[in-house]
Amino acid sequence: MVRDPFADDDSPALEDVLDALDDEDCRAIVSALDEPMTASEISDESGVPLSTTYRKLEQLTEASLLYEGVELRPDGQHASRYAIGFEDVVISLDEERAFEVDISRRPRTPDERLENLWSEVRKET
Amino acid sequence: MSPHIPSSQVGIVVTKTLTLILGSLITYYSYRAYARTKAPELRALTWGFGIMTFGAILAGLIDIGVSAYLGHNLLPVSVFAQSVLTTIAFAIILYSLYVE
Repeated sequence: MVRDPFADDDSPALEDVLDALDDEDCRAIVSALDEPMTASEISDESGVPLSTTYRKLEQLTEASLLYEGVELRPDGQHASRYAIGFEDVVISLDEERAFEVDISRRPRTPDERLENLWSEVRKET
Repeated sequence: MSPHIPSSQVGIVVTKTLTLILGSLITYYSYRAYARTKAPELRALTWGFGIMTFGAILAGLIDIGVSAYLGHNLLPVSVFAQSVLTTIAFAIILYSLYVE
């Protein structure tokens, strides 16, 4: 499992993950994401209306199933781009038979890492 | 040493000083991002920029400080020292893209 330091250290809440995966629009969005896309591109590709797409993207990001990167544009109009943030979702029982959710993350490519590193550094300026 | 200072030498001092200032700023912002996120890749990025900036200081010290002290022209030594540090710094920055 590859740990993503830019994602929240805590695992997402089980309920958030299950709710997101139980949602038809969320699944359509995940299926449409073959590369990082902006919300409007995702809406076009998945056929989910744009206003719904924004809501579902927030839900998916909250559940750590997508990660949000910032696309830096020369005109200063920065748009968020979303990419798949997971490979597997494992739901298991711990010693006390409580449910645990574990998300194994997709390893990010060097250019995605570079983009994220710089967006983190930019936040300090 | 002759009283005449070649303009290229003045240019080196000016650009090295600018490298030092700009490099310090990038290193500082990278460090702040690391301090905020505690991400190991940002720590590596900070080291990379820090070492590159340090190379400019070191080269300046060798070229001006040590050269004047010893009375030798150590420009090739300072260029070599900076090249070594720049290479190491680029290796660390590349590593920052692969570190877990």
